[in-house]
Amino acid sequence: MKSQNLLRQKFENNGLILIAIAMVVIYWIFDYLSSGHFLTRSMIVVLVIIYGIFTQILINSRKAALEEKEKAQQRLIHSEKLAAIGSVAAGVAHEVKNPLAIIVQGIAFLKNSVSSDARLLDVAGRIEKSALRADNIIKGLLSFSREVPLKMEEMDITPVIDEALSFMDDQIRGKNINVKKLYASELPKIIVDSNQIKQVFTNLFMNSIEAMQDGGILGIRTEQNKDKTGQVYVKITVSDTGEGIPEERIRKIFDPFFTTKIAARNTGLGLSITKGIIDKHRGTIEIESEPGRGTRVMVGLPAGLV
Amino acid sequence: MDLFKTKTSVSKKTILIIDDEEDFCYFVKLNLEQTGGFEVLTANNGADGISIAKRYQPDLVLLDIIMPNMTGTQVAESLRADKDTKDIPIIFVTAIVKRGEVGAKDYQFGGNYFIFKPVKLDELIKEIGAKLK
Repeated sequence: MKSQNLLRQKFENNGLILIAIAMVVIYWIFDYLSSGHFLTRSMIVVLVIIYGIFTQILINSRKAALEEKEKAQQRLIHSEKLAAIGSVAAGVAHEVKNPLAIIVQGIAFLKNSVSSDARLLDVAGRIEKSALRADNIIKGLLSFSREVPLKMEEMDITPVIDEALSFMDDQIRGKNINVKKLYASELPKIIVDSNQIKQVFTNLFMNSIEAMQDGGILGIRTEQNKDKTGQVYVKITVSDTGEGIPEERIRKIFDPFFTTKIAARNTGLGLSITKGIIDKHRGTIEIESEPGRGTRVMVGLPAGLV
Repeated sequence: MDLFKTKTSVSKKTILIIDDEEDFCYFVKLNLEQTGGFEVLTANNGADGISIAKRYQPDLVLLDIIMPNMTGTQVAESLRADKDTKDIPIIFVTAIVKRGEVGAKDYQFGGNYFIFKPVKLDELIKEIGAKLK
């Protein structure tokens, strides 16, 4: 579909060039007939302008092609990274989960044995919590290795977003966060795996909520848009008024294990997984942020694509 | 391996753990016995597990899936094929991460009961209780 759009755009560009050439030829004929000269001063001016316009078009299209190529390379590097992590994770998961199981059972025994000693109970509880956190990291890693086939269905994006938001009800209330929705009245249907897209928005909402320690506004906006190739897509913007992310960190934001949050509570895999899901849907995800003012995440999901 | 253990109390349920992780067997045994409701036998390989099951007729088997020499699936097949052990409920206890990652064949055994490592003690006891009902 994307290549069809590129072809169409190319055809449209060529058409414009042909029309421009035809107009120059017509102008030259009139110019020649009225002046009797093969090349007049005004004709030279027209040709220079046309040359300038064509050169600019050429530069722009080459620049766009280079940008597209660079983005494609970045997507490839990202997916290769994920695949490499996935294969390593699958290999070690079984080996790591067994000792974790032993730790959890051992701690359970200690907790029951020292039930009268609050300090030892606290220590045991902390060890157990860490073991379960390690287990969560393994689970997160394994999501890279799972080649779960997408269950694509045609649907409206709005209910999917709202369901993901409903998972956050407690945190939203607890942190005094206002949710502002700005949904487009009519949106094209998109073909997505609703569970995976739900995971995307759950991750994004969770990040926004965690960034707003003292409350704030969680914004959700949906709109219909078109990309450079003419492909119609649904754009969903999730914004917050949280602490924001410095520019140098934004560049690494989709890298596995990169986190801007307190390391003890996070794996640094959420946005990496999110990007993986969006890539699988041939969508786009971009982040803009201003430290101290907040962050905006723009997700683009193409309409009518499988 | 507790080959010489016998059922000493009618009120206690006997659980057999078959898992190649010795320490896992050790702690699960300690934990379950500490509740006062279970007597626990352990085996660290499939062949020993089958012979203990035949001899002691446990009320339930906790069975690891990925084990050397004989997998949990093969152990379950063997237990189901034997008239003395065919009715013993089985719960697979596995480090395989998700239900979907367990081979389809494993669903045929143990009535689809799976527990995923690392499992917390209260969850383990709850699953055992549910299966023994």
